[in-house]
Amino acid sequence: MNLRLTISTLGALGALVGLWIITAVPWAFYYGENTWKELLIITGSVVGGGGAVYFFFRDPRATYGAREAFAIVGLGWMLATLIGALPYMATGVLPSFPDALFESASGFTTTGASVIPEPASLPKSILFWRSMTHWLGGMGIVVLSVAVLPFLGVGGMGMLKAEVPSPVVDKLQPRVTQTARSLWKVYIVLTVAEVILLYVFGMNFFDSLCHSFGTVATGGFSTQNASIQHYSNLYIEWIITIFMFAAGVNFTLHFQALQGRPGRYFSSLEFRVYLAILMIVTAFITFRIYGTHFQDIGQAFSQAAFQTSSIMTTTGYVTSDWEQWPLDCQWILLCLMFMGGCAGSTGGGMKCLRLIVAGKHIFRELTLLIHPRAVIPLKVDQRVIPNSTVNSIIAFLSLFIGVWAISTLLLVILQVDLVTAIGATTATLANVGPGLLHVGAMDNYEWFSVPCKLLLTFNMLVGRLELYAVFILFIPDMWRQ
Amino acid sequence: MRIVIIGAGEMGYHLARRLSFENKDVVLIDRREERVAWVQDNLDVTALYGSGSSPDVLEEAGITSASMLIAVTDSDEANLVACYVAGVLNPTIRKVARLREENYSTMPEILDAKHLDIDLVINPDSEAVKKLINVLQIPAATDVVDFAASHMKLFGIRPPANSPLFGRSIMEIRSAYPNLKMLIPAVVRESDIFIPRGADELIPGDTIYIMAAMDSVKHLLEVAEVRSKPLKRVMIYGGGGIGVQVAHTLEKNGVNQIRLIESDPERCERIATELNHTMVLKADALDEDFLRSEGIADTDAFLALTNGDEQNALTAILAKRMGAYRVAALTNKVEYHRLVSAIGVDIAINPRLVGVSRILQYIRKGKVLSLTMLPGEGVEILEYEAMETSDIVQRSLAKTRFPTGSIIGAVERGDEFIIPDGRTEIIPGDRVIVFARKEAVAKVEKLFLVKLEYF
Repeated sequence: MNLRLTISTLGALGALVGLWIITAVPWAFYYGENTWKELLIITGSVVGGGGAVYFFFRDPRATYGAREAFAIVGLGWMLATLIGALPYMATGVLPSFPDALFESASGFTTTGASVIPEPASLPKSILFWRSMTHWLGGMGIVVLSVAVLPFLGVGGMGMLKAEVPSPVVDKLQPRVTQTARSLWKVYIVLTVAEVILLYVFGMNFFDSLCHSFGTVATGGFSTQNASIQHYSNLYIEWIITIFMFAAGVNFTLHFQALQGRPGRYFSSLEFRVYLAILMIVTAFITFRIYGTHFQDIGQAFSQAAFQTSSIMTTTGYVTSDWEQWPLDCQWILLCLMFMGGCAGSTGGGMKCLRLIVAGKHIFRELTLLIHPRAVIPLKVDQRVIPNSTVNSIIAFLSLFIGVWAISTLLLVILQVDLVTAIGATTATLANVGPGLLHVGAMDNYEWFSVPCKLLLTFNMLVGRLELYAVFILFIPDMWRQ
Repeated sequence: MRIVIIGAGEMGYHLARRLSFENKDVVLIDRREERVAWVQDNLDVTALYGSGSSPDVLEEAGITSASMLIAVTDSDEANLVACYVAGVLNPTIRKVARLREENYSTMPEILDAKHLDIDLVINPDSEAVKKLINVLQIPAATDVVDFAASHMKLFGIRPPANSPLFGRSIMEIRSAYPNLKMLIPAVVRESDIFIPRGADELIPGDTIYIMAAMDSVKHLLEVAEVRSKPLKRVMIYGGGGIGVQVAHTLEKNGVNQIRLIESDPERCERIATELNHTMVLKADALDEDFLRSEGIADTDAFLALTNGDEQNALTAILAKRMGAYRVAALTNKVEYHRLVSAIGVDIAINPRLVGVSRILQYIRKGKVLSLTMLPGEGVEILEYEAMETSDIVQRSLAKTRFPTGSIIGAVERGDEFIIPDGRTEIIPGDRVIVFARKEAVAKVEKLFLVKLEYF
């Protein structure tokens, strides 16, 4: 691996992330907070340091290979998490390093699990940075880097593949830089649309901005202690439901729709499955909570729709305490956490597409038992999924379950009760946020011990980078020159 | 009328043969010396050795005085170049080309006067696929012939041995079922085809050709006691171009269980990618165990469509014996066509014969609306439009001396459809479908001949 190249690129990436901290400064001035000094110092030093590293190690003749791409994505995210933690620590909001790291990782990985019990009491500038980490992490800091740093053009596709949560990355445009820009354009369009709608229907501008960041990135950080429940506004709930749904859809489909081909939505099997599951689960939960928890059918329906979208897209916003709902509903929601949104969306989890491919693969294996001589290519939307991809998907799913089981085990060893351990592991690994029992809809992660917090932080990063980009760093071959 | 044919393969040879029977001057060009010599010995045509796209050879073949060029070599490119060169040497010549590449048909402007300027493109493979699908759609049919401007169809059916049609003469059948508007213009017995007279008796094993309107088919099959079974399970042997096209069309027609057997592993992958719900099976050779495990006994149709004529015929028979309801075999050699039906294969498909039919039909443009040959080319079906000046019009059929070995199958007048008898009178504008043995074709043509206007 070319270490010089990796380090210089990481320097540039760090500087880019640091530069975004400055976006919190205007809010400090606007709300008369004294955090602006710390924020400016952090921005200055990170951008300066990162820039210096970039220029010192720069090697204009080197090119990016697969190893560099994985190292940059894996290490880049860890670096971003570290940088993201600085504002919390410097302003004294979260003086403890593991806490700040947890909150920063939760932001960038769009998990939305928080160690802050009462976010409404925080300085607005810090709240803004907290939501901004969601927004940056949602579409991906590497996708952003590829979009704005021209020297990442060649070899950028490898990085995109390592970062974009999808087993197959569509090159939307002939050039990888253009592809990254197209994805960001779609992302910005969605964000702006949601900000306007939330503002029009009664949220103030600051909150609209923060909640839009949290929605389109499928994050889940709120500026209010009671999350979306705080507003008790049906319009706001439905706007957020719809945008959570949209953020869980493959952005390639959004891009094609913006280009005037909205028919692509329904020609995509993954989209149809995603929509169908969402509707069936919503209907089921509506039926289960109507009459017992909500006397009004409309209310039962909107609560069910909100929670189902929130959990399935791995956003994690809350409008009602679903831990009070029947156990079957809770179990279904837990299963939806595993599934997550569509490939190529900002959502976490295993992704519908992978489960569809796994399902088709199982069906194929069964068919082969009956017809040993059959030749059956695995097709999704008329496109053949090569066997190498199928294998990698099966390996991914096995690894996901393995990490999940070991992480739960470690939490239990660390004296966490089993249900909470399962909930916390699932919620962090799938980047959801709220889990079960003591990390449920109305709880937070403040009470965990430091080792637990570090483990859950690791889970979040591993989940966001879809395992490989992190685990590959532990393969010795990766580091050979 | 001089016709130049390029390529003395199965298609070229049979075209030349037919056209020479009809007193056309045929020049056949081929690049294989032994083929040329063989044609010289067997047919009354001129055979030239050389490349069909060489201007010298074409000049020698008399292209400048020819009225038509028919390029039917195995190579699309050779056919296209031959047409192009011929068009330069003789701008008024009509051109017929055999093209295998399907993509040409999706962009017809390639072939129009401005570009390649080809009057008729023949793709024997797709014509054969169309025909096979047509046949498969009708239960128990062995053959289906469409007529260009007619609701009438000609069906070949092979009724079961206990069918009430057997053991009766044509006259008896007609009086037993007076309401059935149908005619039996041809019967295939053993490997012979003949035009039955009123007193001829049908015997079990016969393949009967029935002329009838499409909507009366169901009733007809009931009368013949043919078990009508919808096409649900189909097994195709051979993943070549024809096999894949057939599978595609069946998929589109909603056949839900299609199995396609192919030996080449790479080809298997390709086909499986291309097709939707067809199950592709890789098998080097067809053995009984394999066929049984894939459910041959429940198969509604087994279609042997590989490149090997013998292989097709034998596996079709094997499938039939193992319980497949209907079997079809593809043959490329015209000689085998008759044999295949004689040994018990229900449906014999020969792309070259289908192609030859289409070209002959085109040559007789204007006078013959459509033309087909029944198996073994013994009997020809001609569809004419009766003109005012033809000998046949304005008198009852009893008074017309209709050539022996020929019969009028149907008369279509406007929307009305008449099964003719002696009193029927043909009036101008009628479309008349005639069945004729090969040797009677010329005489029949004379009857319908329009004076002063032939060609």
